[in-house]
Amino acid sequence: MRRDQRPLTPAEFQVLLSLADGDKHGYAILKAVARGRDGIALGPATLYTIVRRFLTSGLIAESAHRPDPSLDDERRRYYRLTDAGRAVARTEVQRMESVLAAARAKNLLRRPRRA
Amino acid sequence: MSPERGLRLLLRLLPFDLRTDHGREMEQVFQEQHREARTHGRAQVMGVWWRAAADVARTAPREHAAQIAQDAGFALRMMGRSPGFTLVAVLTLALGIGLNSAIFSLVHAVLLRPLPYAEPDRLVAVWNRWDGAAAATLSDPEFMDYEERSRALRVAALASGPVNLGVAGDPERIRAAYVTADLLPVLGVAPARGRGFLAAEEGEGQGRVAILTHGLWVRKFQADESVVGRTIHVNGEPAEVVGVTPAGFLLPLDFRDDRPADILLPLRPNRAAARDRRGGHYLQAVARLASGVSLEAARGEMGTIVGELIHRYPDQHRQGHFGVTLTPLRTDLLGPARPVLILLLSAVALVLLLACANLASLLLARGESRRRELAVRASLGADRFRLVRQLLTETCVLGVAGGAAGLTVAGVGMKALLALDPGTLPRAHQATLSLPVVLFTGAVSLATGIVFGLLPAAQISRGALDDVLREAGRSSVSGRGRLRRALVAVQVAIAVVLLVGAGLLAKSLARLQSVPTGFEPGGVLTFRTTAPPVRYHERPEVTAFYARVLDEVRGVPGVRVAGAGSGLPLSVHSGDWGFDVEGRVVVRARPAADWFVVTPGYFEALGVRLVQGRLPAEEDSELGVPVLFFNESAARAVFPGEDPVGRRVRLSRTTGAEQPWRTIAGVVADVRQRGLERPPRAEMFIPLPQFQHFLAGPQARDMSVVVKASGPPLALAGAMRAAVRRVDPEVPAADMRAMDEVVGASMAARRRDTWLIGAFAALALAVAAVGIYGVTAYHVAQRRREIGLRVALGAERRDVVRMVLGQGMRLVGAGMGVGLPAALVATGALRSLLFDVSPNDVSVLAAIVVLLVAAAALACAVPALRAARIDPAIALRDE
Repeated sequence: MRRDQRPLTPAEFQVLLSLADGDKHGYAILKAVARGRDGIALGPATLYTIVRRFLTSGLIAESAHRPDPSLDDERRRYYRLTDAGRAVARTEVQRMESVLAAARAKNLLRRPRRA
Repeated sequence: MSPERGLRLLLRLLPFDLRTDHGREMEQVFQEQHREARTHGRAQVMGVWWRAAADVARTAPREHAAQIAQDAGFALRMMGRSPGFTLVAVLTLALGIGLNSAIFSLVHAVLLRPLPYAEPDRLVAVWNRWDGAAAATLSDPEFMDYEERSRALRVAALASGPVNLGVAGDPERIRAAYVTADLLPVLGVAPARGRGFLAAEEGEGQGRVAILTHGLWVRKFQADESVVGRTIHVNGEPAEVVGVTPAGFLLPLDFRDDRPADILLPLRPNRAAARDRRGGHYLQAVARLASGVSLEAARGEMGTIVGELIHRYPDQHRQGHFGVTLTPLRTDLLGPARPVLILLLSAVALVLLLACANLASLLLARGESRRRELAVRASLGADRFRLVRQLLTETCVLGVAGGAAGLTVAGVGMKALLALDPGTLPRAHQATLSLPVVLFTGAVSLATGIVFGLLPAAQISRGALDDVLREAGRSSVSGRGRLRRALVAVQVAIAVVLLVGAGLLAKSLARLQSVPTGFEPGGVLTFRTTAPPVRYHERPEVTAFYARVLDEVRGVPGVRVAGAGSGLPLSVHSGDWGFDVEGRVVVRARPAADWFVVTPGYFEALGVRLVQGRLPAEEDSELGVPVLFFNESAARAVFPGEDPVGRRVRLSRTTGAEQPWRTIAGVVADVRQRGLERPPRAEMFIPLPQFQHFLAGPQARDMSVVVKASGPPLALAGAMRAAVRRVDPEVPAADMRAMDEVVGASMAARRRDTWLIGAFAALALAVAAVGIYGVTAYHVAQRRREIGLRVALGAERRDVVRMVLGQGMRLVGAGMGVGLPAALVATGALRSLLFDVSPNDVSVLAAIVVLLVAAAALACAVPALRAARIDPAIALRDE
C-alpha cells in the first residue's frame, strides 16, 4: 500500500483538521492539536515529519499570506490546506462517521442527545 | 547549554533531509514552547525538554528506516535495469567477501575464541628454559619442586604417549594423555560424566583408572551413558572408566599435537624418588595464578625458586642459563598459529581491496551512462549529498547482496581450507559459519560497499552537477580518466604485494625441498608399535619382542632390509641426555646429545650414510661390549678435530644403578630429525639390548619399524600388520606410512600456504592485467582522432605502438612505485614464515618486476595494435 493511500494516523488527521479553519504556522498547529479532545501531544519532530509528507503528497501547501511583520518571526512558515487535503480530511471524517454509526447500531455508544 | 544548542544537538539524530527542509522551523517552534513553559515554572520547562527528546527518539529511527528503504528500493530497481553489471559485481563481491569470511571463520575458531577453560586468562604455561631451548619440558623432580614451592601458582603436569586400547584380536593404538590429578581442577573443567582423578590414584599402578575424552566416548563407546564404572583394557591391563570429558574440551597438549588425545590416564610422578635425579625431561606443565596474584609476581617468585634450585643442584642447573618461563597460556598455545592466519587474512583482505578497485573502475565507466539520469535529479533539486547517498546506497546494496552470496563461498572455502590443513592449526576443525562470522561478513559487506562506491559516487555526482551548471563536461571526463588510471595503479600495487609474498614463499618451499635430509625415503615403509609393559616388563622381554617382530618382518617377501628405532626422521624425536667423556673433567657443563634407541638394520633401511666406524649389529647384545653411535654433529661438538671412534662416554645416572662406560663404535651422517627447517642437533644411538630404562618412559618400548622394500612400500602394509599379529595379537601396527609421505607431510603446511597465496597472487595479476587492458583500450578509443592526425602527419606505426605501450607501462610503473615499497614493509611480517630466504630477496623482486612488465605488455598489445591500424582518413572523417 502506498503511503498516501493508507488511513491517516490520528496525529496526521489532527494536523489536517487544525488547518481546516485557516492557515497556520507550526507552533499554531501544535497548539491547535493540543487543544483538541484527542489529547495528542505532538512534538516538533513528529509534526514536521507529517508536514514534509503532506507537502510532498500535496495535501497542504506553503501559504504566501503572512501577517504583519511586527507580529511575525521570519523563521516561521505558514501552511494551508489544499483542495486535495480538504478532500482527504473529509473522507476521513466520513469514514469515522460510518464507524460511529456502526458502533451505535451495535449499542456500543449512546445516541447523541437531541438539543 | 542554551536551549537552541541543546535542541540542535538533539535534531542531529533526525534524517538529513528533514533537518535541511524544516530544521529552522523546528528550532523556532521549540523556542516558543520553551518560552511559554518558562512562565509556568521549572517543571514545565523540564516537561518541554522531555517531550521533545521523546519525540525525536520516536521519530528518528522510523524516518531513517523509511529513508533507507526508499533508497534501497530505488537501488534495487537500478540494479534490475543493468543485470549484467549487477551479476558481475555480485559475483566479484561474493568471491572477495566469501574468501574473507572463510579465513575469518578460521581466525575466529583458532585465535579469537576463549580457551575452553574457566577464567583462561589466569592460566599460564610453565616451561624450563635453557640456552637454545626457550620452552623445554620438565622432569618429575623439577615439576614437583615447582608444585611444592610455589605459592603464586597451582601447577599441574601432563605428557602424552600412545597406548593400546581393547582386547585380544582387536587392539587399537590410541593417544593417551597422562595427567596429574590436579590438571582438570587447575583448568577449571569438570568431567561431563563421572569424576576426575583422585590424588591417591597418581600413586597406584598405571591403567587402573581412565577418563575417556568425549571423542573416544562417542566413537568407540557409541556415547553409552553407562560407560562410567565399566572396565576397559589399556595396554592389556584392566582399567575402570571413572569419567568422560565435556564435548569441545581440549587438553593444552592437544593444541600442539596434530591429533588430540583420546584418553586420560593418571600421571605418576615418582614422588618417593630422590630429587637429585633430574634428567628425564618429558612433562608439560600448566598452572593457575592464585587469586590476586599477578603474572609478574608469579615470575618473581619463580625466579627465587630457580635461584634456590641452582644453589641446591649445581650439577644439574648451574649450566645453560637455566630458568623457568611463565607465558600466558593463550599466547603459548595460540601464538604459533598467529603468523600464518594473519598472513592469510591479510592476503584475502588485499584480494577484496582489489575487487573494490576493480568494481570502482567499472562503476566509473558505467557512470557515463548514468550522468543524464543524475543530472535530471540534480536539476529537480537534489543536492550533491543526496546524489552521493543514493549512489552509496546502491553500492551498499550490492555489497550486502555480494556478502549474502559470499556466505556460500565461505562455507565451501572453509571446508576446502580444512581439507588442506595438515593439522597445524589447533581447533581449526571446530570452525563454523557462526554468528560472529556472519556479523563479520555483514560488516565487511557494508564497508566494501562504501569503499568501492565512495570515489565513483563523488566523481559521478560532481559530473552530474557540472552538467546541470552547463559547464563543459570535458574536464570531468578527463578527471574520471585519471581516477580510473589511479585505480588500475592501485590494482597493480596490490598484485605486486601478493606476488612478492607468493614469490618469497615459493622460493622458501624450493629451498626446503632441496635441503639434504640425510636419508633416502624412496621405497621405505614405516609403522609404529608398542611393547606393552604388562607383558614385556623389562629389557629381555622388550628386546625379544622386537627381535621376533623384526624376524617376521624380514621374512616377508619383498623386504630388503628392516630395523627399528625410537625416533623417525622429521616425525618422532626425543630430548637430550648428558654424559661424561672418559679422561675429561667436567669444567662448566656436561656435553649432551639427543638420544635414540635402535636395532640393527635401522640405518640401512633408511639409507643413512655411515661416516666412520661401523653400524649397529647383532653383536651389540646384552652381553656384548656396551657401545654407542654418534651422528656427525655430536662427533663434531664433542670431539672437534679428534677421532671419536673408540672413545668412551658414560651417560648421566637418572634412576637406578650407575650407567656403564660405552665405546663409540661408529658415526653416521646427520639426519633432519626435527623437521626440514631445523638444523641437525647432536644425537646418539643406543643399541636396544643395551638400554636399561624401560620403565622410565615410553621411548624404548615404543618404536618405529622401518622397512626398505624392493617394490612399492605400501603394498607391504597388510603383510606387516600380519607379521606383528603373529608375534602378539594384542599389539597393533599403527601409523603405517610410506616414508615419502612423512617427508611430504612435514612440508604440507608450507605447501598449502604457498599455493593459497600463489592463487591469490595469480588472481590479482589477472585482474590487474584486465584493468590495464580496459584503461588502455578506453584511452585508445578516446584518442582515435588524435592518433589518426599524428599518423596523417607522418608518425610511424611504431611510434603509435610505443605511445600506447608507454601509457600502459606508466601505469605499471606507478603501481610498482607504490607496490614494491609496500611489499617490502609487508614481507617483513612474513619473516617467520620464510626459510633460508631474505624478505627482500633481490631475485624474487626482479622476477616479479619482469612478470608484471610482461603481463602489462600483453594487456596493452591488443589496444596498441588496434591503435596502429587506425586509418587516418577514417578516424578524421568520423569526427
